[in-house]
Amino acid sequence: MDWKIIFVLLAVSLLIAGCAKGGQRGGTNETGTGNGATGGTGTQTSGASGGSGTGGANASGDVGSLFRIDTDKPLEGSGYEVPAAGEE
Amino acid sequence: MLLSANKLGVLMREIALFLVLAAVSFAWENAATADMLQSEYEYAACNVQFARDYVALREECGRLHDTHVFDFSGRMEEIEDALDDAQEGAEQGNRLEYGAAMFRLNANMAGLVLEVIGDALNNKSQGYRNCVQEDVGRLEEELEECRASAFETGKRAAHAYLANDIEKGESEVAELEAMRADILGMERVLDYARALDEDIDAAYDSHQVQEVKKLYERHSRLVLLFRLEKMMSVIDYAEPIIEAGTNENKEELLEEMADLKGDTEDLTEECAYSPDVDSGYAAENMRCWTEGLSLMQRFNALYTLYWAGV
Repeated sequence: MDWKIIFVLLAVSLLIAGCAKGGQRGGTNETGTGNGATGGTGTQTSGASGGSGTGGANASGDVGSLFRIDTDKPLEGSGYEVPAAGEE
Repeated sequence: MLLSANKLGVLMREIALFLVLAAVSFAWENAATADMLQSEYEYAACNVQFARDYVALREECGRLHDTHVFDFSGRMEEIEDALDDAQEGAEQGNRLEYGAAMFRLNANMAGLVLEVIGDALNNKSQGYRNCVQEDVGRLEEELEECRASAFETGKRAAHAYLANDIEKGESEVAELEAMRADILGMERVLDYARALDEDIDAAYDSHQVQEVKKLYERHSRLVLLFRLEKMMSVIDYAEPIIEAGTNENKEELLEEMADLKGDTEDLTEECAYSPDVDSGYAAENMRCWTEGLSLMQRFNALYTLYWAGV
């Protein structure tokens, strides 16, 4: 079996695993705390999330995505620090 | 060659983790950054033009009054090179290139200042001194006109730069608000930012670098505080969800989140915002940012930890 076939298999497997995981997360969140975007109570999310893996998955799945913050600093105005020789 | 299901699973997980880390590395860039750098560059270019004219004036007076003048040509070449690089960095909105060039420019201009002072103290005739003094006033007037133009450019850029930051902040608030997260702290910082916008015109119209630098310091503090507030908001929101979930790293996540939230609360209090910028504000900003960046890195590490446990 050459690498092309392995690569295709990998891609398909990744896709299937991703979908399965999404569905699983959706189901898991049904019994969650209800703090997600889909509503404040467990009953509100339970119907929507079971089948497709979206809806309820929105809460638990998105939680991981939220742990991101920019670490670049804003501009500091270094151009205004250049002195002028000879200026009084 | 066949891969076992177990190895395949591990490989897929590593690929997914790689994709996640690649996504983390993408950072938002304010669209008005190039305009801001350009306005700063214009101000610095005014000072360089003054230096060119001033050095030329000293050389001319030296010839007229048969007085030896220090050779500034090597220093001026360095200055011209650095200014060219700064211009290129500003035009491209490349903060790294711009910052490095501006650092070189700053150092060389400071060196020129020292060389001019040293040369002025070195056996100059009264005729030479009078010659320089006669024309330096005109050069200073031209310098002020040039700077006034740069401040106008800066004023427009600063409004756009802050507006973009506020817009981004508002979208982040809206995203969390839609999830019913607590966004009051973030909103408060945005209110301060809107008030900062009202002070931009006065600062640039004063034509005082100190006043403009105060805007930078206030803006810097607000960006830091907004991120700290956002981190606390996300942690508060995520904690019960993770607690009820099945993440393999759940315990570690919850422990680090609690620690991080405590440390972030402390820093938020220590670095509370004030629109009044005193002499210690810049140093305090530096300290706050150093500690803040450490907290932000811990926050971003939660992202990797979370997805590694999915």
